[in-house]
Amino acid sequence: MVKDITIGQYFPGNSFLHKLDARAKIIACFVLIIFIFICKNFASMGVMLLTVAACYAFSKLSPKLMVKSLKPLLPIILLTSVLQLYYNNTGDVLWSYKKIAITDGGIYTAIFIAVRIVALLVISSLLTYTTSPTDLTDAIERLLSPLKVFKIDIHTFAMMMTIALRFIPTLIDEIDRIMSAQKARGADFESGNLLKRIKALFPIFIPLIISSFKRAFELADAMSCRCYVGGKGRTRMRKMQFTFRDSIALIVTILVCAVIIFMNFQFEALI
Amino acid sequence: MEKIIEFKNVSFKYSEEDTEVINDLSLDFYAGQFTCVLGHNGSGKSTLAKLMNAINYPSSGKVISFGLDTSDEENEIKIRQNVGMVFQNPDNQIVATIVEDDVAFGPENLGVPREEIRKRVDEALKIVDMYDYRLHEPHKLSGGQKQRVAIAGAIAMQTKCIVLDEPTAMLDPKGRKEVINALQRLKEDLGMTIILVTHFMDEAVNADRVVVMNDGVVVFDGTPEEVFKNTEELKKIGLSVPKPLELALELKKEGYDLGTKVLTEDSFLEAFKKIQ
Amino acid sequence: MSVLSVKNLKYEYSKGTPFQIGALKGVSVDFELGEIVGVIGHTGSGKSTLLQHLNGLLKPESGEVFFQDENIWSSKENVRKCRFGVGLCFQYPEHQLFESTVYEDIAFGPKNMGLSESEIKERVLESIKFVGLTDEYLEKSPFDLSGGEKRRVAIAGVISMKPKVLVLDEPTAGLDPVGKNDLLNLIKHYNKTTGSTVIFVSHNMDDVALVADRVLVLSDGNIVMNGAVEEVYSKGDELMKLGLDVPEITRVFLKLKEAGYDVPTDVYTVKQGKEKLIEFLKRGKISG
Repeated sequence: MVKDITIGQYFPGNSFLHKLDARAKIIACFVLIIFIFICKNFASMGVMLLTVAACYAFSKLSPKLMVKSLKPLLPIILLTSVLQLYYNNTGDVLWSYKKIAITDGGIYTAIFIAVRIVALLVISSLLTYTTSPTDLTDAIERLLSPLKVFKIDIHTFAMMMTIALRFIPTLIDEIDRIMSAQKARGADFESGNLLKRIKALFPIFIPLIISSFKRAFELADAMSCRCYVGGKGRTRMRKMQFTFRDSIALIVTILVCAVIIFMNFQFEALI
Repeated sequence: MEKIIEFKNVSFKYSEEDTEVINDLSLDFYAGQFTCVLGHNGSGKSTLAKLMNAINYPSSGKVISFGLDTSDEENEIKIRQNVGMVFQNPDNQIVATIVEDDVAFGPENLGVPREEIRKRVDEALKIVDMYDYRLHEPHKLSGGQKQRVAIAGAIAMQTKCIVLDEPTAMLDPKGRKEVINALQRLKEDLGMTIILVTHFMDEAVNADRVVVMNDGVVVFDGTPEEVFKNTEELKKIGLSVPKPLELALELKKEGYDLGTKVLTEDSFLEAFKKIQ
Repeated sequence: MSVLSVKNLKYEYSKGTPFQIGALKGVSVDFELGEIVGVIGHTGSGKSTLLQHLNGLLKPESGEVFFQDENIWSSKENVRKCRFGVGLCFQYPEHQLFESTVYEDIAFGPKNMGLSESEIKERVLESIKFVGLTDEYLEKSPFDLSGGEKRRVAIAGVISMKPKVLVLDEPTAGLDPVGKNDLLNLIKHYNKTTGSTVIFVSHNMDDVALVADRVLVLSDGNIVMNGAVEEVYSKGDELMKLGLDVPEITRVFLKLKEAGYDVPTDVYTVKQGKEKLIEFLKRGKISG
């Protein structure tokens, strides 16, 4: 199940979205996420959903991928929207039991919230689906480079991010192996009270921490063998080029935002 | 032949209290040779490798790498540009999340211009036969593939010599073969100097030169034939010899002399034909 | 009587993703009490997947696993019984060592079994002896040991559960020839003394030849060979076709055969090789 969640993964491809400059994608994604929260009613959210769907279509990725990825998260989405049903008591009461009342306002909000979470997940997944982690960190490094003025070491930050991304799958794999090895000696991670469960984690975390330190030292050696001395004097193989395509994408994003604001004023706010 | 790495009376210990891992060792490595350093675990062979490109510095004596003293900090980058290194654990030496970006890491650090990096990366990946995987994520590769990416990373820096510290210890037989074949190609096609540190005898049979280490000193140094015929001594220091040779030596005791140039099944067959 | 058996086991790894490696496509096999079985196959052949089914770490998608004639998945109790009854020791000791002393680490399994303090102590002392280390090691930190010693402690940590079946995944990987030989002898000794079954997984067919009574060859999720060592190793050419590393001596004999010499090919040790070749050479003299 956990392995089905594809959020954060990268799926190489050759679509319009894949070809966009990572900086353009990050900016657009950031703006759209803000506007998902600015959407106040179904009309503006509808515009947003259309945009998200269009983006997904432009990525040429199979919709199944997203559905599969969302499935394990369904309980969280449902829980959040059901809570809305409970807390939001605006509008006509449709059904009530003791202190619990379900209103049509509640239902609308619940649906709205669910849609909002899905839109958020899809748009942020799209960013990582279509952008290689290297491009992503590169773009972040370049977008944040003005911060150098404040003596913030952006290069090191970006390198740390790259290494983290590189080692996450390796460590997940390792946790899996450690758990198997300890289970084979009868370790039990699933039963007992909280204290017992926390104690049961030691046999996993101690080997993991020790091996991570070992990895870190070896990686440091390997990096210095390849003449790494920090960001100074480094060149990059990858080119980042802001093209016509990227300008169009940003202009469209701005247009969508304008329409959303318009819709927000045109129709009654839901939340 | 041109000396590229010289050990002059080198001793090394990890800390003051420890005993010497390398003990007053003098040894030269030559350009264009495939040298195999053999030894059991703890014989000092890995330490020897790390002394070559200034990861370790000698406690006494000198290591001269491409004419530069490794103890002088200012030489570090120049030395490492000439002597690339590949380590045992394939996972712990790949930095980037995409194969080609990892190969580009070294040249990027050296400030090589963009177009030139692109060219070098593509060439390096083709040499180790990993070009088709250039856009893959390293963690989805097999061990042998990861090690070949690491080798490509050194090639892209245009190192003249690659030192490999037990690169096959964690691989399956298929991966081992891939790596050893790639190294043979490097030597033959590019004339690169290869120094392979290992405890697998069969990886040494095709080397130009075999150096056997024990307790921080060199015990044998010569061609594979010269070294491996010392079967008994090798066994005493915890090493084995190639099985075809062992068989030939057993036959010799019974009066059938196949000579000592029988390190592989092919050379065994040749020798066998002769006594028939 | 078979102590452990697997019936028509199927398992598809990482279902639905493009990385379907190590699947099992209907594997059935029995393990007898007291035998040493070598399991060989290259990476992705399904052998790791099979191992993890033997002690219930993985639940079969279809098919059954029987330990002492009981289906291990028939009750929670049985899974637990099988976990301790079939001791599985993985390749990297670094994945299981975590306590501050070797003693505590070896005691981890027995503690999980809920044994008494005195029983645990007895087992720890017995186990450390089996893996050829002295009692002095018990107070050391497992992290200060050498690679070979770590592996021995890891194996002791499984032996201490007194499993009926001991499963070792690549126990000799990364060891030098001496370390390897010592370990193989320990495994043999353990098997003889305790009478427990040992299942030994390795890439290295030379190692398997030295200790195993019987060999299983896995390829592409199926058992393609199952028989006595001599029987399986005599099919050297087939093994090579499966991408396996056949013993060096077998390769020599295959080469000779290929060149037209009438020599047997079920040879895998230097000693056998010597006998067969001398026999051949003498015969040659008589006839020709």
